[in-house]
Amino acid sequence: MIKLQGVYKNYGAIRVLEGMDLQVEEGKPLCVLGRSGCGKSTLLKLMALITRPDKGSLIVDGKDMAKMTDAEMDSIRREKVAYTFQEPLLIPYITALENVTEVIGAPKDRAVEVLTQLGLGDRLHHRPPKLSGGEKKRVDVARAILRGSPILVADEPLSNLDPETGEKVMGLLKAHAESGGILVYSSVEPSESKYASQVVNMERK
Amino acid sequence: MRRIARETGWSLLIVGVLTSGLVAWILIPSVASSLESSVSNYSNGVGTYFVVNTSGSRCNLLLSAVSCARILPRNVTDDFAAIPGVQKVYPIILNLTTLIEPCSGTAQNGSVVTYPDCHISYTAGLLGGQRGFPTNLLALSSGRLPRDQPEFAASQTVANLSEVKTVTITCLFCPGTSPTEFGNITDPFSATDVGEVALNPIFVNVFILWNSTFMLHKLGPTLYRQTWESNGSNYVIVKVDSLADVPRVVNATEQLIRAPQYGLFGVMYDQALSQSLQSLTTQTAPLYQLIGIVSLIAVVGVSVLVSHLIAGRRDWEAGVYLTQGWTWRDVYILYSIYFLVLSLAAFAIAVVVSTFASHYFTATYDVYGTFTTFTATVDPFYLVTGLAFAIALAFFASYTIVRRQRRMGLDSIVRAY
Repeated sequence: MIKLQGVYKNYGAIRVLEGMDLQVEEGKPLCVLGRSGCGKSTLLKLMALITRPDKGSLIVDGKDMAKMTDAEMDSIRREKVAYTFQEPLLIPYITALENVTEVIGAPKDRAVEVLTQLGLGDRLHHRPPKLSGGEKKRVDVARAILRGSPILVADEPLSNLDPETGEKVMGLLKAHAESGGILVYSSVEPSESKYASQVVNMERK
Repeated sequence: MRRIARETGWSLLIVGVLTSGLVAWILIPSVASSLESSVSNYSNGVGTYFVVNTSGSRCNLLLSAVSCARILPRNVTDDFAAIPGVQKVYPIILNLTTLIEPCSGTAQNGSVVTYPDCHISYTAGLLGGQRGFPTNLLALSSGRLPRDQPEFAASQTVANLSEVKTVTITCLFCPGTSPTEFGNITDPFSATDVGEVALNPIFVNVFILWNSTFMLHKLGPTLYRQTWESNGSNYVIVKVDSLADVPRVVNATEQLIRAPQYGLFGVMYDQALSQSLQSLTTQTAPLYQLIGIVSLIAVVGVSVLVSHLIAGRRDWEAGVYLTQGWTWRDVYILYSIYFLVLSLAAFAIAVVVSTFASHYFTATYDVYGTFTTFTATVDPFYLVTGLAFAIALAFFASYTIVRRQRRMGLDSIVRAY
């Protein structure tokens, strides 16, 4: 379970989150809805343990991140959290398949299976500069799914995807939640909240 | 390797900077080391000798009532040997050898006149055997020493002696005799061709010791007559333990021959050489090493800066790995491998360049008026330390990069995309 209590987060003078309370449970996907710049990515990065709250508590599996050292937080993130970027970050000089197998150490056959499931069977050996935005997004999602972490945080996983491919992606993400994992994803489209058990609407400050 | 291929320009820049630094580190101190070693070896064989001979001028200034000895008694040379720092004393008798050979001169009207019987005199000393100068200390550039001779004579020569086709040794003069008086000539023995012997030009009374100026000495199968019989010596060669001891021992020796009766004798040594060789050891060589160290430090700084520029352009890559389950240690290893490959490539190139360039680093050093050439060789010490520096630099650069990224924080790194 992830629990936020009175969480504040600023970037310089910009107040992004102010006293946010939130709870995400296993098997109950959470969708964070809101327009660009409203703080969705910041909230997701907090839950993915990429950044810390300025104030308030962020509790993951009963442990308050505010009281942890960087090393302890790194350790929990490594063991428990998989994350997909809003802008898919892939290593540009290795292939799509290697971005999965080498970066997370996933077995090759399993990586091929998931990438093929996501419609990238014929793009396995293409390097990121040769992939479209949607294809990169799917490689990033495949990487997160294959990590097998209990917490999966996906920042706008459906952006740049056509509806059919979006269904495939969400199918895999939901399967993660249905198998007892925690799923948090964000979107700018209210219609994409249909895959979630709970929805948080965020507005720009 | 793919990262290197991806960052070819920057990778080549790092390799280039590292290579230049490693070449500076390996080559410059190696040159200094070679030069120092060569000159030290050379100077220990040359600069640690001095002579006491009849070149002193005090006798001419003394009252006529004082008799100037032409021979140093045995007890005086024994006192030389007792001076601390003296390794060995070689008391020698030098005689005057006169050759009668054709010579030429210019008449008042400008015409060249040839004289068939010119008397040309040289001093000669005894080599080998019990009393002569040890032949194992002679340096020959060519030819050989006479064999099967317990001791043999060798004469100081002049540069144009090689032009004299036939040399007839006519007579030998004992020390103290007038050039017009013939000494006793007994027990003839052969002085065979002794080849080209190195000579220190400042020790003008004997040619046998020094290996700086090569003078042609070809007496041929000439008969000498031995007249070296004297209770003492008129030429003393002193070997000192080290170059640094020479001035002190020279001073002590001069004190021993201060008595008026030894006014004919003086000490000859090359003070300038002694000082310049010590300067090389204490100043020049350390300066070269300092240049090497400064170069290396500069290169370490530039390399770390360039490596930060490279890594800084792609900090987000580290962020990708970290968000996908890598530890900072994993990222550090990733950078280390990358920079290690570049460092080792730079080291390999530096070794090749240094080895090649060292052949062109020759130093000419003026020793006893002779320009001696030393060729630099790559010193294994600087190779080993260069390799250690290259490896250490890879780890150090990686450490500082990861340290900077940790300070930035994962959020900032990822947002750098």
